[in-house]
Amino acid sequence: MLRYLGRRVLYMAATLLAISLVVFVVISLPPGDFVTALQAKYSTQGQGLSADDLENLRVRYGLDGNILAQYGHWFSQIVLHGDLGTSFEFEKPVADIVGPRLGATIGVSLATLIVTWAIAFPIGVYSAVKQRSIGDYTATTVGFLGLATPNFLIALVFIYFSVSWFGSVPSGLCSPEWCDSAWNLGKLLDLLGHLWIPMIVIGTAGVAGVVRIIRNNLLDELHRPYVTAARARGVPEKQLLRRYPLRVALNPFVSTIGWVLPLLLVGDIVVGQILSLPTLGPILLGALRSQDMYLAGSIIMILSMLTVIGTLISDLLLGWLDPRIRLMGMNGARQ
Amino acid sequence: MSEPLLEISGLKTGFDTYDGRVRAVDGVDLTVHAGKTLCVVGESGCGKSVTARSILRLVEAPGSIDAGSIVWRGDPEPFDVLELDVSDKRLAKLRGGDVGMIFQEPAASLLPLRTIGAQLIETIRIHTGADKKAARARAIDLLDQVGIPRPEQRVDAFPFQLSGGMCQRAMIAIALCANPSLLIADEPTTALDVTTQARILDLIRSLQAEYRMAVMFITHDLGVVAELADEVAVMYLGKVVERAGVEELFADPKHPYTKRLLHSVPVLGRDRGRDLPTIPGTVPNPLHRPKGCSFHPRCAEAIAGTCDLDEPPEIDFGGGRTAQCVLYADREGATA
Ligand SMILES: Nc1ncnc2c1ncn2[C@@H]1O[C@H](COP(=O)(O)OP(=O)(O)OP(=O)(O)O)[C@@H](O)[C@H]1O
Ligand SMILES: [Mg+2]
Repeated sequence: MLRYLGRRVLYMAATLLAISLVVFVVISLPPGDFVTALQAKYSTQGQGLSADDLENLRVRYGLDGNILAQYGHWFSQIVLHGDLGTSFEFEKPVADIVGPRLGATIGVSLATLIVTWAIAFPIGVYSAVKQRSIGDYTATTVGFLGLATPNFLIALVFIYFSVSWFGSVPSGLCSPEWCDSAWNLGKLLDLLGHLWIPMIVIGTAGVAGVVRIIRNNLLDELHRPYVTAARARGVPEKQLLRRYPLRVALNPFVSTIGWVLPLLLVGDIVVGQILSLPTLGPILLGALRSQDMYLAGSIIMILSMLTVIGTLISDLLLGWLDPRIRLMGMNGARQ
Repeated sequence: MSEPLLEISGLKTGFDTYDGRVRAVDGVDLTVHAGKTLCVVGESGCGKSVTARSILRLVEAPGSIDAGSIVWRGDPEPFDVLELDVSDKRLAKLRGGDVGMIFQEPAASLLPLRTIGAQLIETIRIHTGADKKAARARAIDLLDQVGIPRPEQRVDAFPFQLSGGMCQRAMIAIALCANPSLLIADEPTTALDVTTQARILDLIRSLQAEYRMAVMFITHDLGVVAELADEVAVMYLGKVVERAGVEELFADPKHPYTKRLLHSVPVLGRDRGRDLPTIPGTVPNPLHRPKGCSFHPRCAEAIAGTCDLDEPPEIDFGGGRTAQCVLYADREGATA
């Protein structure tokens, strides 16, 4: 098991290295750089920048030289000093900008993930067991709608209704009076009061997706020989469902953790912008627009890391759930 | 003749398909006698498995049982299995309690994610109410009885760690856990190699003697029939076309289909170097059942104008011998 873990961590590191290179190159691909963007901004304000100014700025930001050298500098700083670099736009260390928002991002994503499963799991099981019932058709139809509706549209609909009904736009994760206070019950309740909106907006597609996965997995398993055999030896129906087909159907489900997480994070980019959440999504969008490359690169790296860790967790869970994965190859030889 | 234990009469089970209803079992009468072995033989697709599954009400949608009765006489008060509510305690007791069942694919019939011990202990506890420790001891004992070496270790093995033969032994152990009076074995050796097959058959025979249970053994292998059976039922396209004691059947087959079946079994000496006769044609699709006797298109003795028009009568030869064939219709004492 330890060797397996070690190997997985090594793969993870390699994956992250590859991602970092791709990310950096892609961010540098668009013509121009941060200084060009800055120049454009100044000229719209009627101030020109001389060629000397530009050159000075480039040297100051380390944007001279080729992009591989820049990459090398950036990456070695991260690995050796844990230094994510400086944001051009905010003129602050990237870590100071990202740090406070990381918690909110992870919090919103995990809360959404848990609620998604809590809702989707029973619906999916019901749909499969009562296949072709009215309940199943309802769940499947609503699921299609949920999958087909883009997140930002749901967010906009939310904003529309809250403006027309309550006269205000739901935004952020806390009300002004609670935002700076220390943690207590009141703040927690306030947070929950705000959290459900992004959760619904980001989670709708997720619920629909997970319902489909559970339903299809379970339908595949419900008529396997081992189910008939268990029924033939008198295992009561409820116990039978839980101990036999559901256990098998859970496996592919667990492996979805790996890709549900990035999906949630992507959802956050657009939805966070619309609902002005204090998460990483909106910052990432801004940084990409202004070619604030160290900020953008660092955020993408952090999100990738979370995803890779999510995949690792789901693999470990899978190994724990499925003895075939755990034992095969190690001592899976027939006894 | 010993007491009847299970009496199936007029059983009809069908499946809804896009092309219409398939009458997989179309009026089957069978009797299993206590302590005896009934072998059900027939070509693939003739409805053997569906018959077996109907007994424990295991037929799933799109299939359903349309008619007939399945009377269980193993209880002081006999009852019709088909009349029971699915939540009836008697059905729960029958499944895995009084009737054990083993299947064609032993490895697929066990859940790969749980140890064979877990699945065995679960069944023992359901039917005996034993506590965990006692159930585990009984599980190890049962694994030992079915000839699994080192049962104390194997009890914690997962099905994929065992060979097919070992899995079938584990399935047999599960089937035996509540001392059943009937073991239904649906082609339990088809997926196994010949040596393993012979060992499993030996095991079933010795367990049958030890537990004094009846066995309903489904197969398409006449060699197995000769070895195991007390009585034989020959099925063709959802019907029992001939019923006989095993010696009578091999010595004097009545139905043309049975004769053909016996002819296609090689006999050493006689058949060396010559082609085995095969039954011409294939089993018709049960959706397009031939009119009259369903065997007539393949039958060498078919009588034009009779076999292709009328359902053949069931001829009773006495002593439990019957054949569904018009050739014996003018027999003395025959009831049409
Ligand atoms: N789930 C199903 N859906 C539709 N038709 C079915 C289904 N199961 C069985 N049948 C029909 O029932 C007929 C009998 O099937 P059954 O499994 O009893 O055959 P069998 O005699 O056991 O054959 P084999 O020797 O191959 O096991 C088949 O020809 C098939 O058309
Ligand atoms: Mg079969």
